[in-house]
Parts: sequence; structure tokens; C-alpha cells
Amino acid sequence: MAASLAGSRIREARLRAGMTQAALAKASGISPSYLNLIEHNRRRIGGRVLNAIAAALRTRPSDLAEGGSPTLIADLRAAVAEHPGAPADADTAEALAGRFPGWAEFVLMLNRQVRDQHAAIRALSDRLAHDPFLSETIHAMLSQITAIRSTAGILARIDDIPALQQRRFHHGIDAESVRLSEAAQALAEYLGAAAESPESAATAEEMLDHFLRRHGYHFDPIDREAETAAAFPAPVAAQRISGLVEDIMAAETADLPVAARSLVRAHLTAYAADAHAMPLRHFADAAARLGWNPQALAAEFGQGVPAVFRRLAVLRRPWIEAPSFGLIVVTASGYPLLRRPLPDFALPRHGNACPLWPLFQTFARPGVVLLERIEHDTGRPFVTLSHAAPRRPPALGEVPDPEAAMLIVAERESPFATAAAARPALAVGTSCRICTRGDCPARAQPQLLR
Amino acid sequence: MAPAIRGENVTQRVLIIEDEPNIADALRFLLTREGFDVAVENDGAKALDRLRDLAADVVILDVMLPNRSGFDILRDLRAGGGTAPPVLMLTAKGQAQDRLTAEALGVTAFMTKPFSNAEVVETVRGLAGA
Repeated sequence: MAASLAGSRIREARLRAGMTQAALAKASGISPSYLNLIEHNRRRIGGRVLNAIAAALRTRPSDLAEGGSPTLIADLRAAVAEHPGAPADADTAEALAGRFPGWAEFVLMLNRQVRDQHAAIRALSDRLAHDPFLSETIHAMLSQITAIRSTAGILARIDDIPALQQRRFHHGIDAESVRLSEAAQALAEYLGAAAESPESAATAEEMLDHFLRRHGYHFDPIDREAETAAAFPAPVAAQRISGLVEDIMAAETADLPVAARSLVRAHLTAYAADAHAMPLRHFADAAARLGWNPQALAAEFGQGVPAVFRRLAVLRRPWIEAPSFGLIVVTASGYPLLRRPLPDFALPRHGNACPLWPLFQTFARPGVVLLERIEHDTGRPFVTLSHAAPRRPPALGEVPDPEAAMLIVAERESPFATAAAARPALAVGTSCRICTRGDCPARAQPQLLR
Repeated sequence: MAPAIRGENVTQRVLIIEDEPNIADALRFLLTREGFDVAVENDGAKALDRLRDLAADVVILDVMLPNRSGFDILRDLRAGGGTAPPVLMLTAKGQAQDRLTAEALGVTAFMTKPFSNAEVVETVRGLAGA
């Protein structure tokens, strides 16, 4: 019974208020022994006594009287039932929901995440084990490798092979190596296509990536609305923009899990705020006029450099001439918070980025915009602008929680190429696993394909 | 190279049931040099008849074959009773389940692709001498 726990809540509220039982009893007009019975859930209370106790504790009677929400209790019981053998008693769900509703919600949230992640793992595992294309292709590749290995072994170790047989072996190796190349190419294309397919997204971050890629990383309706915002009073404009965010959420994210929806909403909200503060055409004109200088743009619009980086990364449209900027924003531990890759500059999804990227240097020099030339291990030259700043202003005595952002642009279309020209190019990659620079002193992991 | 002898001056026969011509060709060459009399069959449906006609002493059997799988051929071979020859099964899958299936069906030896030439030759010599 929910009401049976009112006593426990009264006791907790009294202790939080720093009152003795005697003091609360006196303030409520009841005897200390009666209050003692109430606090130990041995007396039901309501009406006048409850109101008096609540008034003495400066709280609402409902905060003391109401038990946990029936939905919360039912969800907790269902969650326990999903884990046979868990050392939790379904009968105490009511007590948890009633006394610690926040913790109860937290337990349910963790349970949902565990369930979602199990489903994602099962889906990935199932795909690897049962995907007919993968299975067939790998089988074919192993057969081709077997033929090449056996034949090459014979040619390398046996001298007296008849000429006709030798020719057969050479032709065999030639044919099998062509088939092997084709199979490997087909596999790479298949895996590449799978990575692009929304159905393959297994984590909330991947789902956000798919969502952003599908939209080309920009949201024209939000930008259009933001450009007309000046015509409305500020609260109305903000409401119209947030209404658009909700429209997109409702139309496009209904099928996504809660965690992915939350990431998409956070991204759209930040995008809308940027669009509102730096309306597209106005920003494009200013960018061209100020030589794409992020600090000058930040001053012009009264925004921070990180927001200007985000805006530059989505500026190019069919009707707006702007360089194609890539962008990555990472935490101090290197975890990517935002990725906007370029076609020829992949960005790692789960951290482990190249430690030589200039953006990591900026953590030691927050606030500085660092201009560097880099050469990717594909041989292509880029220019980067990097900047680190606290994610939010730290309170007094609080350790800052910095993030660093790196804006990337191909050198051939970089508006900063001249400024960067005098600098030697840093040799970098995407991440150690796929980087081909064999002699890199910063290598932290072996190359995957070696 | 010492000839592989069956009984009194009879060369031992190996039947390779494998549909990949370049693998079959390499195996045929290697085992012929070892003194075996080697035949190749690339159609799963014809494998059992070929086996009976040849009276092979050792069978090298691929799992994935056109028309009939290596597992089906092995099952029929063992179900036939009598003194069926030892079978070295080759698979490009190498999954634990394939090995268990092959063992349950009475395979004598099991090898995953890609294998080394020396490994195959040693195994076939071992099976022929068994």
C-alpha cells in the first residue's frame, strides 16, 4: 500500500529538515509517541494530521502521502522479471518507487539501455553469422587464397615441374588472384554500403550519424525560419524554431530508440540555436567579407568560436558558395561529440583518432585558434583550424570540461591556404588501425591489415 | 620420392572431390609426386559412384560442392557399411559446428582452408598408412 509508506517519507523529510521527533510532534500538534508510530508506518494518516505535519515540514501533503506511480511500480516489476535470479524482490518495487522515484527511474533507464544494447549486439552478431553474402564471399575468398597458396608453394619449392604444368599453375594463380581481387572489392563495397545504410546502425551515435548524413548535415527549414526570426518578438521566434525541431523529431525519429532520439534532439536544438544566432545568408556574407576568419566571425555575431566552427561546417549549399568544411568535436579523452566527415577525410566514430591531429594540441592552449597544414596518409593535403574551450563555463573551483574542435578543408579550396603555406605539413592519418604510415613514432595500435 | 604402395606393389589411390579446379590441380600434382594414383571429381552428385568405381584408399572431400554437399556424401559413405576409406574433409568455413558435424558423420581428418601443402601431404600419407 502506498499510504503505508507515508511514515517513512515523513521521517526522511524530518531528518532532512534537521528536526527532532519531539519538535515535529509539537509543531504538528500531536504527541511524540503518535508521531513515532506514524513514522514507523504503524498508523495511517490523512486529512488534518497530514496537513499539519506537512506544514511543519514546509512541504506539500501530497509529497508525503503519495506513493510511487503505478506505472513506475509496474515497470520495475517487469524489469525484475526480465532478469531471473536478480537479487531484487518484485514486492519491494513499490517501496523503491515510492521512496526513491529518481533512483527507480534510473534503474529503468539502465534496464532499457541494457535491453537496447543486447538487441544491437544480437543484430550485429546475427548479421555476421548469417549474412549470406558475407558467408559466400568469405568462403570464396578462402578458396581462392587456398588455390594461390598451394600453387605458389609448389612453384617456389619444387624445381622439376614440367613446363606445361608450370604454365597451368601460372595461369591458375593469375586467374585466382583476379577472382580474389574482385571478391575483396565486392566485400569492401558491401561493407561500405552496409555502413551507409540506416538499418545497419547499431548504436545511438550511429543513428545520429545516419540521420545527419541523410540531411546533408543541414536543415533548411530551420535555417529559413531562423532568417525570418527578426520579424517576430524574441520569445515567439524561439518558439517557432523549437516548434520546427519538434516537427522534425515527430516526422523522422519516431522509430528510433530513446537514446538516439535524445541525441538527435540535442543536435537539432544546438543547430537551431546556431541558426538563430547566425542566420545563414547573413553569416555567409560575413564569412566571405571577413575572409572566413572564425575569430572575426565570432566577434561579429557575439558567438563563441565553437559555434562559428559548427556554422561554417554546414554553410555550403547549392545556392551558397563556400568551401566544404569537415568538422570533428571531441572531449578531452578524444571521444567524438560531433562528426561531419569529408568524402576524402574519414573521421573515427568511436575515438582513437590520430594523436598527431592539431586539435589535440589545443587542449594545452585553450582559446587559441591553431592553423596547421596536414597531409593525410592518403597523400591528400588539408588545412585545419583547431580550437579548444570549456563545454560550459566552470563554476568556482570546478574543473573545466573542455572540448576541442577541428575544422578541416582540402588545401585546394582552403581560404586559409596562403596563411598556412609557410608551415610544413604535419603527417597525420585518421586512426592508427587504418593508417598506412609504418614508421610513425606516435603509432599506438598496430595496423589492422598488416 | 617413395611410391605410395598398397599391399604388394599396388599404388594407393586418392580421390579428390573438389570443385575448385586450381585447388584440385595443386593437390593432384603434390600427391602424384608422392607416388599416389590421383583422381579428381568435381561434381558432388557423382562422387559416390566415382568412389565405388575407383575403390580409393583415401578420399579428400570438400564440404561445399555443386549438387551435393560433402556432408551428404560422407553420410552415405559411412552408411554404406563395409570398409569405407578414410576421409580428409576440407572446409573454407572452419567453424566449430562444421567440425562437429563432420566428426559426428565419421570423418577421419579435418582441415580448414587455406592449408599448407606439407600439412595435406602429411595427413594423406598418414591416412594411407593407417
